[in-house]
Amino acid sequence: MMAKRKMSLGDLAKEVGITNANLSILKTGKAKAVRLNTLDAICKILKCQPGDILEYVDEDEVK
Amino acid sequence: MKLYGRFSLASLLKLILSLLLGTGILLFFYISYRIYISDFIHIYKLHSLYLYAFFVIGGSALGHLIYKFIRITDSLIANDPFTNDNVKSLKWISNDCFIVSCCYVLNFLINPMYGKVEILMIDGKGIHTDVEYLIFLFAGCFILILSKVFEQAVAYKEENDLTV
Repeated sequence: MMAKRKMSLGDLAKEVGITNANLSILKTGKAKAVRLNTLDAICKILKCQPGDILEYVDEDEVK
Repeated sequence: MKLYGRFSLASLLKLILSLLLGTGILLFFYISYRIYISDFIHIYKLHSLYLYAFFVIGGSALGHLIYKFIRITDSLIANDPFTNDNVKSLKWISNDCFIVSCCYVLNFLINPMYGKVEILMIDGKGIHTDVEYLIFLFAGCFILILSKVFEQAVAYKEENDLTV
């Protein structure tokens, strides 16, 4: 979605109002939770739905 | 006065604990040397061996306990007390307290001191008590509970840190 909107990680972090490190945590799937206002800001800036940027992965199947 | 961080109460505590550990180690070797050169071992043989074993085990546990407290004060000075290292340190401290407590109890049992036990005594020299083992036992239990509380706090902190 970021590539579609031609947006870099740094730009998105700046627009959303979070640090690069936190956005990186989010992007690599290391985050334990996402605040609704963070999700709202990302969707607003990328002009997309939460489903476009979130994917469910069954951890048991991955293991 | 600042409680933790640089130049705080934690720094002062670290200094005192370090001095205490250094003095304790020197005393440990000095007493060991005094026992070695005295007639104590030759006269009492097996009994003295037991006593010296309690002294070594209890003394080592006490030294380890102080060392772990120093490690905790280090994290307090670094402004980062909620770490898994501190949880492990608290568990070690609690075990050390139980070991020291056991050494006290065994010392009471092996030396026939049951009749002389004074729970609380006041005389011309001051207030005396023979319940050190109870103090260490309760401290061990309390610190064990504290380690569990810390473990929970570390989990909450980790969750908070990874919430974006």
